[in-house]
Amino acid sequence: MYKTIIVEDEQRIREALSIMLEMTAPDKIQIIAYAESVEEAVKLIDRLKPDLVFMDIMLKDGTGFDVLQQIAFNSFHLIFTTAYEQHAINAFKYSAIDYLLKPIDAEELKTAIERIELLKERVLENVQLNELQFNLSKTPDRIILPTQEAMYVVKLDQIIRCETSGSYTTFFLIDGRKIMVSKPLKNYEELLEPPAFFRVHQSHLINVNCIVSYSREGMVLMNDKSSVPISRGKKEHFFKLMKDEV
Amino acid sequence: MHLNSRFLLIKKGPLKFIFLLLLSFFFTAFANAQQPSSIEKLAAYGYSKRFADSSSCKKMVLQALELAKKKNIIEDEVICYSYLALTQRRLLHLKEFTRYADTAFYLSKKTNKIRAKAFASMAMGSLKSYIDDKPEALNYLLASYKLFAKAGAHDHCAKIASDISYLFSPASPTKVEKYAREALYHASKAGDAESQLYARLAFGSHLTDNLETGTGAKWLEAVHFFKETAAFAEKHSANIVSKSNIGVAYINLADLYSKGPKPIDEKAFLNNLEKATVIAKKYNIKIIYRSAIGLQGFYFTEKGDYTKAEVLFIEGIKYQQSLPYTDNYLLAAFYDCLKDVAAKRKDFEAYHNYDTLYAKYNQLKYNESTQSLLQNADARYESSKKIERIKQLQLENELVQKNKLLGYGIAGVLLIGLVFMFRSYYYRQRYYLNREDILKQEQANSELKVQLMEKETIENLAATLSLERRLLRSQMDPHFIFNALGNIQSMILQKDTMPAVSYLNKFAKLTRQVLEQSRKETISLDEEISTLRNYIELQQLRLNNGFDYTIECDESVETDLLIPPLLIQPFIENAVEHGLKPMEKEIRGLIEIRFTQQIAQKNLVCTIKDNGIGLAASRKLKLKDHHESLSTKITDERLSKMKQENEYAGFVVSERDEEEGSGCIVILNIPIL
Repeated sequence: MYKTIIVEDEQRIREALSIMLEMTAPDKIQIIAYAESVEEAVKLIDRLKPDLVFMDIMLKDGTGFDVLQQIAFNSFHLIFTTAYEQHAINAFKYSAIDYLLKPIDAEELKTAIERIELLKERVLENVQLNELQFNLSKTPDRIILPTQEAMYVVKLDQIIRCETSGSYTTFFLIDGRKIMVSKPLKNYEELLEPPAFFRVHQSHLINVNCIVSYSREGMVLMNDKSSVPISRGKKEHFFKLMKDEV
Repeated sequence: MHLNSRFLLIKKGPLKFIFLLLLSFFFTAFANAQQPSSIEKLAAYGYSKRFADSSSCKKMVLQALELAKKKNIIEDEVICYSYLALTQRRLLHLKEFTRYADTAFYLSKKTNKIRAKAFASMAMGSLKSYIDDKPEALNYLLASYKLFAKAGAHDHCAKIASDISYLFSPASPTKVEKYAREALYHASKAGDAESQLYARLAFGSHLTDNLETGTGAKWLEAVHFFKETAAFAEKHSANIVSKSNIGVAYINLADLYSKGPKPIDEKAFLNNLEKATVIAKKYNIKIIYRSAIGLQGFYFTEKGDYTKAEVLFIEGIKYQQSLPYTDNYLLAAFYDCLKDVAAKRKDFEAYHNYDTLYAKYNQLKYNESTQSLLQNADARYESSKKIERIKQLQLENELVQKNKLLGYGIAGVLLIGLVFMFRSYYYRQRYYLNREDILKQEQANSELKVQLMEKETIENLAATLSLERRLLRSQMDPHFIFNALGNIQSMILQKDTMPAVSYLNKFAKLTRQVLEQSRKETISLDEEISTLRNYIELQQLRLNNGFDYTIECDESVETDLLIPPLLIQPFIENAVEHGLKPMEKEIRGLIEIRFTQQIAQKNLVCTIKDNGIGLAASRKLKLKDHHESLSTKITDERLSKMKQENEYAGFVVSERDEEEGSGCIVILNIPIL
């Protein structure tokens, strides 16, 4: 059972979340407290030391990020909830921090909880928090790749290409490392965008700056000597992009 | 076609005539499907003379217009103006073309007759395509096409669908095909040779478009289709007004043969060009004659028969020079070909001679094309920016307020631009008399024009176009939307069905109101209040009914007075988010909204009072988010714009008096329109 605190300033939405938790994971979640404000949340988290916190961004007297800065105890899983904060959502994605959009979808809630169970250590990683702070304040130039053993912080220009098979994505880095992440490529397509990155194929996304050559027939040679096919539908767009680059 | 059917009708006797008359009454009364009026027929008949005798054509259409004016039938006037516009297009008189098309379009707004509207849109579409404004041309032509289809005018539908099909090429092959096919369908419905040939050429063009990627079978299909088309055109040549289209069919056929499988069918190729030349000579169609000579010349050059090619090109040049006007584009092209031939013959002296001439005409052609580019830019500016220009002047005013010097500078540039535009037109008139002058004028002119156009697109269009969208965004805070939905979800989960349904309805109603009202210039106070109520009640739901609200109007207020839409909501949003939400739970929130009217000043005063934490305390929390600053900014902008019309427009935010307790008070002065 995860001891859980819900930080949310609208009562009905709090109730909705607890009902949905009851429905989707009745034997895993035990709600031990609710908090409506930054002040309350900091007090409750430090005192009750929860395993899991659902954190709304916009609170009466501040934001969820204020809460994170003020707490002393940070050994818990964290899931943000938000109605609409595009800026924050992007930062979450780059920092591999979980979030749910309101109104909350039962399926997404279920997957989020399942993902927590997969993680080895029941802590909010410090790396992730630092990255989140960084990504909130600046345009992200790095990304967190969460794997079973560790959280890898990778600079975007270190990525040569990504390849997917099913729901796994492998990142090929300049230093020769390969990192495999249990998320589909679609997740990263929004973060690794043109003009620096381009999805040339259903299962390939490449760093445009790492291209050595490409052929009209539709093969791209990368600077790690790997070659990647361009799908027929993407060809025209790709050639146009390359022309604009030159 | 309509003339024909009427003759038929008379022949078949009075009974049927009466029946059809009744039928036509039925149609005009109920379906709004319109048969051409007698005035339209007169204009159309005049227009059909455009190739044979352009002056009598113009005269007849003008007569028709006089008649329409005398009888005071707007729809006929519109149609006559449209025909006049098209006549001017044929005469390449851009200025008159623009004027007539504009007039037709302007007048068409005063009538609801489909036919007239269709004609006006057609004239506008034709104008836009003439000045290379493809997207606009498509908009107008598509509108016209729909209207003509509604009116059952298949002959016009066939032509417009063909034109649309051409316009979509090469960007969108599927649309090219779709409209070419529809043109064929309408042409077959219309039944007249003119429309059928027109549509067939469009479809043929679609077939040849696809050839490069196609196979032999596709080529055969195209050849077959054009053969049929040429035979058809020849057979019905008496009924076809645009004789050039007959020649076009042959030229296209010949062109197809030249692109066919190698070795090409020389006999068929030359034979078709021969036929085109015959038609060109018979009806005196220069364009066909020149194309036929050009294609033959190309062919012989390719084949290596340089003497024949040279003879042909020289014949083409001679022919061109015998005409009363010069076509530099064509002359340059012919000399270019000759140059090519000379180079292949290794006759370098001839090459040098041809090259000198080529260079001369090419320069002239280049000047001419920049000229026409500018002319089209002029026309685009003139026809589509009239409304914008008024707004632009307002914008200028704003600039003057902000920075007088800059404003004068811009006005100066605009003025110089206008002067140059006039001069450009003046010089165009004199172009054929005095070519040298204009060339010098050109460079200075074009630079200024570019500046002017850039300024306009960037400053004016961007500002005005985005305002509506921004207004919408300022009203529909995503945060508010999704939280409201979250609350409704919660009610459903807790099985509070009735309130869930009621709030869902409120939400739907508010969304609809905001969508509709953000597009309007004015709404009544009643409407504004109704939108506010929906909004506030949804906010109450979010705050778990933690506050009350009142809306009161003084007795003097007429609730049907008109005001700019959606000005008040952002202030309510502020009161809720920053005043009431951070409050202690024990105190119950209250928002009081009161309207009073100052009739003499044309001013509606809206006072919004809340008992929240007040300005100072709220600032300490620094909760301002992106949306809020956006919506405040937009409201601010809108009010300061209104200030030009009504000096009272604006708002003041202040802390409530100490004795009354904490809270905030907003006094908003809204101009009554």
